Amino acid sequence: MVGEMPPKKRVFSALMGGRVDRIPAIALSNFCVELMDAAGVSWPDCQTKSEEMAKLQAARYEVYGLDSLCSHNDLVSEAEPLGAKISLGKRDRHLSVASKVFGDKEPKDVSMPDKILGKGRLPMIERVVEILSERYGDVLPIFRMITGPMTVAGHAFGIERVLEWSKTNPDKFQAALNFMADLDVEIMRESMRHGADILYMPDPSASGDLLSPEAFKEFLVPTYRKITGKLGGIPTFLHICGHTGKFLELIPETGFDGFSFEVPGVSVEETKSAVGDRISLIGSVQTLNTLLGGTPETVRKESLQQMLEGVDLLCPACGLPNYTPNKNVIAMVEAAKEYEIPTSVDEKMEEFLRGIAIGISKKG
Amino acid sequence: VTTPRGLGIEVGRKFAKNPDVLISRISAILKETKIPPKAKVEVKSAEEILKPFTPQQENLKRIFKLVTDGDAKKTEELVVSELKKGTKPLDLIEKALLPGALAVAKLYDAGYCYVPEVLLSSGAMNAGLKHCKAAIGETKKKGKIVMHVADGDIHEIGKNIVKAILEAKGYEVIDLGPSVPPDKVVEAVKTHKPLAVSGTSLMTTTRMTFPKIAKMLADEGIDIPFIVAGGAVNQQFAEQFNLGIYAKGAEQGEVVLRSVTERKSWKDIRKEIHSSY
Repeated sequence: MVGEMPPKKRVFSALMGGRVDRIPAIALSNFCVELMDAAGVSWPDCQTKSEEMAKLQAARYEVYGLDSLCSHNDLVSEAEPLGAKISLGKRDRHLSVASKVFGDKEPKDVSMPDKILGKGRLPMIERVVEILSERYGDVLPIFRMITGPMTVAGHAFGIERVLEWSKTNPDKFQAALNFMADLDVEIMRESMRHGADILYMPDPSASGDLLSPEAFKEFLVPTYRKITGKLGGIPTFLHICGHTGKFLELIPETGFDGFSFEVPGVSVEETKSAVGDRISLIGSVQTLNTLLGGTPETVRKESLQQMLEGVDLLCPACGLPNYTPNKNVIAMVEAAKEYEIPTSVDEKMEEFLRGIAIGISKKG
Repeated sequence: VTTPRGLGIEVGRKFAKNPDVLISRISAILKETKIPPKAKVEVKSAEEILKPFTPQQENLKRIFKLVTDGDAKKTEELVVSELKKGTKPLDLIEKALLPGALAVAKLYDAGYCYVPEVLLSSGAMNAGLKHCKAAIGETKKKGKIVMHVADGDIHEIGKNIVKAILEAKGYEVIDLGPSVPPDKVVEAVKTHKPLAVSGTSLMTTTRMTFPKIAKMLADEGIDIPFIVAGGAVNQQFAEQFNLGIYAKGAEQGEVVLRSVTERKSWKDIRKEIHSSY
């Protein structure tokens, strides 16, 4: 048994496949009304003002007791500085992209706007990272959430067009992805200067419901490698919702250290048997049936079962629904504390062989 | 939660002295491990799926093939030349263009292709369709449908594909677009008086606006079917509220519209469609 770890070390180690004292509990989006009340923040300030956003983000630790913090909660902050109009949503609704950016323009006709890191919501988010890093950076890891290239390409060029290019015009498709990958890398590098520790990349449009495994292999895998290869070896993890079953074999090749998958789109068992120990698994307590609709006891049971089946970091399957009760997320955290990590088959084997050696030596 | 007990240092030490220990331990572990039986699924080949949609006539078959390949440019060229030759535009629509798009939707359901292919074939169908429609001229529409994506949900690919198919079938579609608040939907229904109204939702968190809309429609004394569709809903969900009917795809949507023109009630239509799944 490893001695007690600070959460930052625990999350780093679990993501990189190392020793942990217990399985860490983390979360993706925490845009929940009950959490806002508990944190004493109001909407829309918690989506528009750095100080208030930081308070809501800190509540991941202060209220839920999770092992990590995260920069913000939206999928639009990358498309906005490119020129997308965004809608602020509501107290119980996420921000969304209201207009695609480039109209009918093609990848070759567009260039990165000057000083893009100073545009839109980006400076405000960096300030959140700074605040969190100053106050919690010694003990907690700070995730920087950056929307993946496929999703941002959809926001910028229109998802239907981008999907068609994946079949009819591979060059255009790859060019669009490369453009967004460059943007993502630039944002992450800047954020690391402000104190971000780990890249969390949700890419919901790179879904198995939309793309073929062939397209994922040919275009997305190299694009993800390009991103993960340029960040100086910091831990990174990818989240894709829905049916990712046909991509699972390819996921460890993306260069990400962790993969967050969504039950019931795929099961823990299926995911674990496809990826083995090649990548850390993050997930996957069902958001609607269990965290929103269940009780602390059902959350506990599902969490324990999933840790037994092989998740390395315990986490909701997707962003938390807006009306998730705090007590259910807390039950997930408690389950992570309760669970005892069983000895792995490799360790058992090693122990067994050591036993033989000892036995033989004593016999002689 | 229990874990099967493994091979440990103790077993190893005993094994060195007496190898039978290992065999008995392994057989005990194997006895503890239960492997669940796999469910049987019926698998159809892509050719089998395409067959019932494929037209007999050679010229129509060529267009059908182009639509299933998603080739908009060649589909358009061939449709134009067929129209010049005197092929009936209605035949082109109903025997080649529409079956092509529907066949690809079926292939998608069966896992033989993905959304890009569906988008491309729907695009190819539309490319041919506009020439056929121009050749037919203004005709009387079979009826109207109001379509929308749930409030808070911006995913509209599915709705757009079904819209294209219903328009090809001769229905008028009032498209309210993505993320439509309930009162806008009810208002549109009151203004346009459609045969049915549809709502699609991919994110499960957004689907709860559907029962709300159904209630608002009922309060206004409107009893047209409310078709719900998309990844976030299913048959059980639709049965939780009045007017709700679950449609897997364009095919069921059309059955609902046709049934309304035959003056069937939403209850009968629901029973008929839900029992077909």
